Amino acid sequence: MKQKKEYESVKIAKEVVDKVREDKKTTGVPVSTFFYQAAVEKLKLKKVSK
Amino acid sequence: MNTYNIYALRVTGTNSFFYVGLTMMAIEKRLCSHFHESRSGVGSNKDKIGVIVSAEFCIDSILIEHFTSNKRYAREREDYWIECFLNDGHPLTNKVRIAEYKESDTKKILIDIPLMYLVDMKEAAKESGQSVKSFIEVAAIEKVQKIKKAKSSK
Repeated sequence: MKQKKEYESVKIAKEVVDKVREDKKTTGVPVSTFFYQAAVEKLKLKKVSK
Repeated sequence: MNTYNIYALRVTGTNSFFYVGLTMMAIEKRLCSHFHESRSGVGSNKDKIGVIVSAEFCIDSILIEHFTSNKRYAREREDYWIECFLNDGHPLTNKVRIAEYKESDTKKILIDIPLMYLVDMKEAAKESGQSVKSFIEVAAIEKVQKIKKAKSSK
C-alpha cells in the first residue's frame, strides 16, 4: 500500500540559503532544519499574538 | 513513525566505505536490492554500481544506526552520517547527497514542511500578502538576526 505523503517540499532561494549558510556556525543546526524551525516558530508566534 | 536503518557499504576486506544509505528494510535485504540494481543496470547511481560490479559483489553492509522516527529526522541522520564519512575521507558515491553537500552554497534547496504546518503557513503567508516560500525565507532571516543580536549582547 502506498504511504500517505506527510510533507510538501518548498524551494528556498539561493540568496537566502547562502545567507543562512554563512551563519551556520552561529545557528548550529543544518540549514534545512534551520529554515523549518524558523518557519514553525514564526507560525507559533503569529498564533499567540492573535 | 517508522523504523529506519542507516548503513554503509564497503568492498569486503577494505576499510573505506563507498556508500551510505537509509532504508526501512533489513540491511541484508537492501543489499540484495543494490545487487539487483547493479545486475540489471536500472540504478541511476553508476558510480555505486561500478564499485559493486568491479568488486564482483563482494560487499559488506554495516549497520550504522537503527532508530524509530519520522522521515524528516531519518533524512537528517542520513545527511549527518554522509557528512561524517566524507569528512573522514571515505570516497562516497552518494550522488545526489554529495552534490547537495558540495554545491549547496550555489543551489536552491528544498525544505520539507509537514502538511499539518503547511496549511497554517499558507494562511499566515496569505494574510501578510506573501507566498509560503517568502514566509519561510523571512522567518529564517529574522531568526538569524535574532540569534546574532543575542550573541553580540552577551
